[in-house]
Amino acid sequence: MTQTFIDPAQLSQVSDLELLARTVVEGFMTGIHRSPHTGASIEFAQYRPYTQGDDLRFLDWKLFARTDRLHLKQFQEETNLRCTLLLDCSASMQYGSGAMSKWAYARLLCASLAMILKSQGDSIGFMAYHHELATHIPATTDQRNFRRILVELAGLEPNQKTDTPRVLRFLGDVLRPRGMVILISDLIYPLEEVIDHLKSLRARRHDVLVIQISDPTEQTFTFDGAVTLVDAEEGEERFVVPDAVREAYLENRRNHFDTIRRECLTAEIDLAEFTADQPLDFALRHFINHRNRALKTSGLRQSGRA
Amino acid sequence: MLSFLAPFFLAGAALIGLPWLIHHIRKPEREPIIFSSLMFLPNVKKEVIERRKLQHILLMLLRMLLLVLMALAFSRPYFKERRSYVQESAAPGRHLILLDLSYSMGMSNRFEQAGRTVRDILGEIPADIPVGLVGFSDSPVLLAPMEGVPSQTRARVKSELEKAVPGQGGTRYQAALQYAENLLLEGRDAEETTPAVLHLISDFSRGGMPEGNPDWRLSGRILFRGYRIDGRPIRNLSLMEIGRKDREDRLEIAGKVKNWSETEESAVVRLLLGEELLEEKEVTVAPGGASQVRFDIPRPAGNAREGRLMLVGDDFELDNLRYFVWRAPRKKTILLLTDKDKRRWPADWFVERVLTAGNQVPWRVIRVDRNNLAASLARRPDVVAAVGLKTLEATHAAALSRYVEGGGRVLMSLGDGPSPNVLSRDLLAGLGLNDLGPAFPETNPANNQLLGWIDFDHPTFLVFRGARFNDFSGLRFYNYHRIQATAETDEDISFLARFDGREDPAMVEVRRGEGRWLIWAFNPVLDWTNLPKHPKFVPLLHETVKYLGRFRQEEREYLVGGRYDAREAEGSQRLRLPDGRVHEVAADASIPLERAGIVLAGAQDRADEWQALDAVNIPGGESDPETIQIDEFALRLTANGGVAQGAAHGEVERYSGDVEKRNEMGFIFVILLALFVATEIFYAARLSIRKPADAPNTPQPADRRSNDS
Repeated sequence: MTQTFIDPAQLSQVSDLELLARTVVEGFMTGIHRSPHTGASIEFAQYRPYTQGDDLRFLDWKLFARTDRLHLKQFQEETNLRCTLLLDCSASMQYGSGAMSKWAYARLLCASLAMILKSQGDSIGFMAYHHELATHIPATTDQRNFRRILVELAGLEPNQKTDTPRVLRFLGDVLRPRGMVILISDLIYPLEEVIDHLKSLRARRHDVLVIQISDPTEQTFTFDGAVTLVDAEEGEERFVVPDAVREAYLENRRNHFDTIRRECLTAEIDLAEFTADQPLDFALRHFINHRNRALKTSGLRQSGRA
Repeated sequence: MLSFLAPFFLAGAALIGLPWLIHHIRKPEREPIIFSSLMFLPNVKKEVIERRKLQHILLMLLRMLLLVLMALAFSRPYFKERRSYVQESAAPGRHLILLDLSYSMGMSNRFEQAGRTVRDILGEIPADIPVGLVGFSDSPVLLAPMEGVPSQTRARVKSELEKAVPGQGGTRYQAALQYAENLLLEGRDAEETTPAVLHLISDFSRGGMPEGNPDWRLSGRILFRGYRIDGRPIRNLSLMEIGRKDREDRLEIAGKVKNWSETEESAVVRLLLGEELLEEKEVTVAPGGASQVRFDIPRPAGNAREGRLMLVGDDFELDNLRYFVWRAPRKKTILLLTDKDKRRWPADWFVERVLTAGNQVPWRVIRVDRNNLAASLARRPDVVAAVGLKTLEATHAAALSRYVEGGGRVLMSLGDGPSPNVLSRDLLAGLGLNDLGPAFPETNPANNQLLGWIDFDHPTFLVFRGARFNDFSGLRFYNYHRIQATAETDEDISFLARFDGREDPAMVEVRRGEGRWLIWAFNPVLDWTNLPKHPKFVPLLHETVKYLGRFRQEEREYLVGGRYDAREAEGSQRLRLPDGRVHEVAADASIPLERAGIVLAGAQDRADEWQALDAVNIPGGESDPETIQIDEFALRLTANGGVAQGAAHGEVERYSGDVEKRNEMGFIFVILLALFVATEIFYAARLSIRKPADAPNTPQPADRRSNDS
């Protein structure tokens, strides 16, 4: 079976963000993910031995009567997923050498993810940031939240410098624990602090998915002849001969992202990398796979503790 | 003090903005690209970038300087240097007035102005100083010498001035100045500091200046003063050239009419043959332009006629006449001397057919038996073609030698006779050539020699120059005679072509005064060579005959101011020149020409019979109104240079070169220009090949850390 993907170049010609998101999300909508957390609900999940301090409301008294052992009943939590979409709208996201800039790609991806989550009835939160928080919509199950997110997305323009650690610190303060955080960014900023704060987010038992967006030219550094490049965020100008600096540039870039990849792996943070010329389906599929994998590992972990 | 001979070139310095403009125009092409981040780029030190910016600015400044230098070099700068030994107050020893008598001084009222100027000069010179007068055009003529009592010299000058009229000659300033210098410095002590003064009164026609920068300069001991005579502007057209072309029974005559005026002018051009007006045409010429007027008339009867083209309707008549002499074209004679040859197609068969091919050939071919050779040579044929000869009898060889010694021309090809024989021993040896006999014992196609070298500068091969015609590789020679020059160097022998391999000569030319031997070392028959059936055979033979028969000799053209070569009066004893002088040919071979007209030739015993021989015309360039600045004139022809002294004096510009010396220094700027160009090329190349990033390839992420993180 051949699968057809929607070309970002074609998508870039459509201005209606909701229409775009609906087009992209179609086919990913229903019954493909579940909440990874167990809690009070009607759907039984498993038993686990009672330990001191457990809520006595969940003790299975009938089982105690039959076996003289204390066990707790665990149920699959049916409350909606609490997911916060975190979008980098710093000036570096504006760059694009092809039909779609990184910003256009990220914005559309964000809208598509929001639509998927909305269709599941999950709580959707949204935050956009550059050097400070640009927009914050707390996660609720209110269906109008999706519309608010789209309105915010449509009004945002990438500018200013990035300060991801600062935003992540803020996020750690305001987010309720054990939710899902999806960070969409080009991850072009110094390593150490970002990784530290991603780790701290993870430590608060959030499931963190980082989607890194690149432009094809950033990956190859191909320019026609000598050019003067201006740093989108710093404003620094530099005259470069691409052939002369390409090797060093690519090596520095590779080192940077290798480090991020390694640290994310260590911290059990899922990192996915996409370029702005790839179909959005890839990113959505990765999101779905990530969720399925998280459900399984989460279930095993729960049962392991049981 | 720095001055300029051509200051208008300084306007070129305005191009100084060009490099800046180019940098500016090119800027949009290098519009900065806003890139997501430069944090992965290798760190380039700030000073490196600034240095590169500075280098580019330096390069732009260098290019600006180049343009300024170019403008300076073209504007011909010079330094004026004050000379201390020449004192304004010094009483000059003697004065000589050099008066331009070329025909351009006859335009408008120039000569009246010149006369007034001479009288003004006489009035300014102290009464106790002698004055002389020299007139000049092509050559100088002393009209009033400086020797004698000063008052008498003045009287002589005034008297000669009354008689002087502009002639028909052109202008030659250098000859006149040299003559004047000799007169002024004659008998003077080299230590004498009192300068002699030379007053030059002229229209300063540029055509009178020598070509390039002459080595000769007027002595620094002579004070030079120039007076430019401009005169009123006039409408002037002139007949510059005349050309004739014979076409069977028609004669075409064309004249070039040049308009020297600043407005479009019309005039009538008349063609006269003798005194008979044949035709007239009106011509309109744009300002500064030229037009050709053609007349097509029936060929005149008789052997020679003189005629002239005459232009009517402008303000200056002297340059409106052009004389010509038409002579009936004579068919030249080629004597074809053959040897007995039993071949079906012997050499003379080919040669005769090639030479007689077509009706338009300007010669006639006469076959002659060698028994009648002496009698035929006595009639002075233009060319003798002796082809395919095996040998010659001694008497015939001697007759041919005498014919060539007397200016005759012989084309000889060597046949398959035994060697040595009379031909090789007596004739060729006498020409400085050694015939070693045939190169191969048998003549057969297997030998197959090519031409390895051809002298394409020789008139015979001139038409074959160029890639389209110079391919002789298709020519094959199955045998030939090996010829050597007996002397290693003989200026009278030249080789036109050589065979490949041993480089034996294929064609040799031997000069004997005006006479020529042109020897082909092969027999033009099919068993010796494929030349007779090769496409180049016809043009080669025709060109050879044209060269030997002097068909290309240029028509003689004589100008006033030149000299007439009396040897051209073939068989005549007397010449009558355009100015009416009758000249005995035997008396002098070279006669100066002073007036335009017709040179007539006559026999000694028939005093009243004259035949038109040659035309003498005035030099056409003298009508050119372009003049030279006196500054430049003084710089090029005087050692002291000079400086203009004040404003115009009536219509006469006065000029004196007595106090300052000029050192032209344009060459310094040219040298500087060359140096700067070399520097620019080197510098620009160095900048273009240099990598912009030469710092370590380590990223500097810490530099980008947020301050408030």
